Amino acid sequence: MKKRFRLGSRFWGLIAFVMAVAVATTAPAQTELSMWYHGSQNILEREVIGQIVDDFNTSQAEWKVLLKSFPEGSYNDAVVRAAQRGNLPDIIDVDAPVVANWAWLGYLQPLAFDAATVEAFLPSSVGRWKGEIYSVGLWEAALAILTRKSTLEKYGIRIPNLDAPWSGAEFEAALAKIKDSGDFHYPLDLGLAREGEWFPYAISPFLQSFGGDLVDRSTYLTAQGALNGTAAQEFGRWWQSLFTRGFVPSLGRVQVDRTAALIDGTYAMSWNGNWTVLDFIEAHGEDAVFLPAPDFGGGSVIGAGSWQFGVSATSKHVDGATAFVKFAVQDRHLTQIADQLGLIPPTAASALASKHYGPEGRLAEFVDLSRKQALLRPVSPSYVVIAKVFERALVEMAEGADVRQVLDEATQDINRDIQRNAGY
Amino acid sequence: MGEEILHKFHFGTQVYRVLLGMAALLMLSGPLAAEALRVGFYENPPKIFRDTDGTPTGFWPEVTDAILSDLGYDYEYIDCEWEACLEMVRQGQLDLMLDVAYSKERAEQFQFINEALIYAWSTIVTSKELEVETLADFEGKRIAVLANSIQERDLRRFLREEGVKAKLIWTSSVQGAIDAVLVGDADMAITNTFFAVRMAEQNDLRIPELPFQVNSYHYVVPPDAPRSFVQALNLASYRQQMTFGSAFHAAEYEWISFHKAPLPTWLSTAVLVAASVLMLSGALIFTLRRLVRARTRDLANTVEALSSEMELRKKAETFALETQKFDAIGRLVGGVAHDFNNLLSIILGNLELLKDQVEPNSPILKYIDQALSATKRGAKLTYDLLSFGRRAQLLPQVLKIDTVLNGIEDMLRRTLPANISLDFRYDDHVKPVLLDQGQLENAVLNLVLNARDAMPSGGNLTLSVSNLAPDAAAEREGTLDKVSVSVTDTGLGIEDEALGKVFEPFFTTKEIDKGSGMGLAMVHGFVTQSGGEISIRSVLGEGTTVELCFPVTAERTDQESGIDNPANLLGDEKILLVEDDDDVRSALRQRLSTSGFRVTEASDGTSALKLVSKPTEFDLVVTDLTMPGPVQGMDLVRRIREALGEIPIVILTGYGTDALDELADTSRCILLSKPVSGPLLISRIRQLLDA
Repeated sequence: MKKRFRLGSRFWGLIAFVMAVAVATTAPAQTELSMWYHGSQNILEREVIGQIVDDFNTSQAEWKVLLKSFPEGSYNDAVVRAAQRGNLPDIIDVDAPVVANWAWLGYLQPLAFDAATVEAFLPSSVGRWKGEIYSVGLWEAALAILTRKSTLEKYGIRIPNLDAPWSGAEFEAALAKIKDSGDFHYPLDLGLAREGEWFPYAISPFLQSFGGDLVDRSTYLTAQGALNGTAAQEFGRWWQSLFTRGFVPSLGRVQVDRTAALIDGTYAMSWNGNWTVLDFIEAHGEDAVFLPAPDFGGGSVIGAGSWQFGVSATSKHVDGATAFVKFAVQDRHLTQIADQLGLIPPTAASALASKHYGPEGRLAEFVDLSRKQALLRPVSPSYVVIAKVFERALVEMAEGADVRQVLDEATQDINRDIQRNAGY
Repeated sequence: MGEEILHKFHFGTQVYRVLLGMAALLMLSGPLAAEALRVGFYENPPKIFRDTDGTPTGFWPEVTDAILSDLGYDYEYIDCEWEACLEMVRQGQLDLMLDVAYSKERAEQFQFINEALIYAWSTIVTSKELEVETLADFEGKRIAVLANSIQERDLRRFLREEGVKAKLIWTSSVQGAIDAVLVGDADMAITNTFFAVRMAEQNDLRIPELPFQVNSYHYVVPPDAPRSFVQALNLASYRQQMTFGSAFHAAEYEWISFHKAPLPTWLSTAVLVAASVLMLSGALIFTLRRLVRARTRDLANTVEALSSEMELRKKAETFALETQKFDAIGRLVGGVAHDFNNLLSIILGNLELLKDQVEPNSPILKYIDQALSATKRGAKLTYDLLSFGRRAQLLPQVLKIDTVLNGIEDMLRRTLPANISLDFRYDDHVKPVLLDQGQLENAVLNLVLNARDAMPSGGNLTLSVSNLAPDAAAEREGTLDKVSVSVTDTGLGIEDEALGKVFEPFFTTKEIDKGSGMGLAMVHGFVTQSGGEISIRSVLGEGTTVELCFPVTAERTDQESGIDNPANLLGDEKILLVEDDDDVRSALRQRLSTSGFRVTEASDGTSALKLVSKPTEFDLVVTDLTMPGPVQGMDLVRRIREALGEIPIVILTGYGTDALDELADTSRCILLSKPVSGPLLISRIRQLLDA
């Protein structure tokens, strides 16, 4: 009996081992979710996003996100081609002003988010279209005039603040003074060596401050009056004068490092994003200031912008993709991104917890800038066309073309696009 | 560098030879290293990606596997992001990177394998009207392009670098670029090739033979990679492209091309041969079918023609049989009628002589007239018998049709069953026509019989005779008045298809053996030969009308000339009377002598010729047509004319029409049927003598 007992013990131990192995090997594997991301060339950003993905994959057993990063320059084209072939990933990274276009094209599907989920977010960091939420951003970006307090004081220029931005006249006077001093190559750097989305993102706020706009936002069916009205023409003439008066570098001039040029005094002021501020502060410490956009009569306006996460319309794992987006937009991740990348946290809680944007943070004012001045770019599938047309108009006016004629033609081009698409 | 790569590509043959030798050396020296090659792997479907099982797949993995396996290398994929992969290659941490677009900048950082494995380009789409032959044609054009696409980026760079002025029409979708062309907002569009081909086909747009912005994609290896390795990869890449059916071609068609992959050579050949055989077989079958069909059609036509001919022959035989039957009957009837006519001639002649010798108020006269009337009725009977046998004397004569038809009303009524009513309608004063009375009667009889057959259930048959005045146009042409004879029934009617054929010989709608098909044909011939017209109108289910029209003649009718009246026509001319029947000859001689003529008798033709050969002069000859002996009536007529010239001749016949054709060209010669009344004979003689 004893012998038998020992044998039985070994037998049952073997059975238990085999069953344990079997259970381990037959445990359900995670369902894979594909995700495309635009920032393969930004190593730091890619690492942060990769970390969030890893956290998600280990936080639960059902889903596993496989991140694929693309160069930003070919990202949109890759998405378009994938959509044509029906190969869109489950989770898509999308530039905020393009959300309406991709929703309209059927690349994205509405997120199964209730309004409360995104209530705390900056409006500009939530992608909406026709009353549905399509995407949510993990950060916000804001522009400001970066300069040195000492420079302004040197030329007797008032230092504006959010409550009392420069008027248009003050801004003009400041530029003129600095120009006349001859101490800088240019009084202002608008970053015009760049092409593409920078123009509508960075420059259209001036148009809106003049009282114009890229399109009539009451209907989104025409740009008539908004882009070629009196206010818009006034903006155009001002814009053109920036070049004729030598306030800004001419278009196309190579700018290797704008921040460096600001720091070394090539430019007195720079119209730039919050993501460059940390370097500037590091160089000039308390002398570095970032100022709100001037008010040309229509208010002080900056562009709102972010990249956001959405779920593709063809995803077969909507639950998993939605779960990832919800996971990613938690405050702790928003704070993490703000602290590591210098981007503005889109919720008050994440900002509060942020090293840079918290109460003691050096960049806290950007949160206020975004909340008070940020204006969404037109929420329309046509925006991708509007942006291009506006960019061309800016270039042509900068090169001396007739302002009214240029804006009229731009208005017509935008209207024709809207008409071709039956108003979207 | 791009040009350099392409340049070397064109020197393919020479390069191939050089590289082949080097590859041979390489193979002899073995693989580059004992360790597995590290190949960078990043996601860019469909060119390179992992499938659902995580297995590298797509164009590049398939080609790379083939190339490295051929070269004898082990390899492993190292997952990395695009930029990281390139950096790792640059630093020698990867031995090979796939799918790198050539650029001058990159060429300074890596070693490119010259042989590009992929060429990619955007595609130009224009309206049908616009031709784009070179990129310089972009000048001044409106070019639609998807905003923020590679095509837009390449286009802007091209325009900037080449100094070409064109206006971009940005669109919010790829389809939008095509739409802009379609609605005329843009002159052309530039899209990815996959989409362009599909859109051009769907919208009838043009794709010029001009690629836009060709990019070449290559392997890259670290800057310090052994040259032999680079050359081996170059050669292997080249061989993959030059070898039909290689992994390169399979992968290209699977992942890159929008065209279907070609079949293997052997299969293509087999399919080609099979298709050729099928086509030849098809052509042969087609030809044979056509041949058989043609032969069948010919055969059917022949059979049909044969059937038609047989039917025609059958009808002809039937007709011939009927003709023979009628001919036989005619001969029989003619023979009887001849003899009977001779008897009647004797009776008639003697009765007329007797009547001349009786006092006008004698009670005997009544009996003589009755005997004369009976004799004439007998003569009429023989005439009808001869008409039936078509051997009656059928000579055109001036007559009134209503009078003629009035004479055969009884006979016609007898041919009709009781359920068919016959109505005769004659205009007043029907004008005279020149017709063969017998033929006219036969024609009307035929029409009446046809009408009868068309009314198997009975009906009404109307036979009308009326004068027709010519219309204005006919009057201007001098056309005379006409007399119309119409036969109208209320029968079945004739179908339109058959209506046009009723006058054709042998055409009949009657059952077999019920009609020869010659009736209306004979009527048609008679009417036409008589200078008249025939027409037929029919309504299916309502009935048929056949109308005969004959021109009116200005001559007085024979009926009006009072042939039964003993005209006071006397004469003293010398007449040679030739008649084989003694009694007939005696009666005729008596009748002629009574009228004052001096008669010389001859009992046959031979005797008559003897008399004619004597110097005796005769003013007129009266001769029987049929006589015993070698000299028949017509022979006698011909020889008398030869001897005496244009002497008037009266021919008497008990048979009918046999001599008509011969008499047609004989002037001053008439034919009279036996028995002929004395007044008629004398009046005709008088007419001939006085003419």
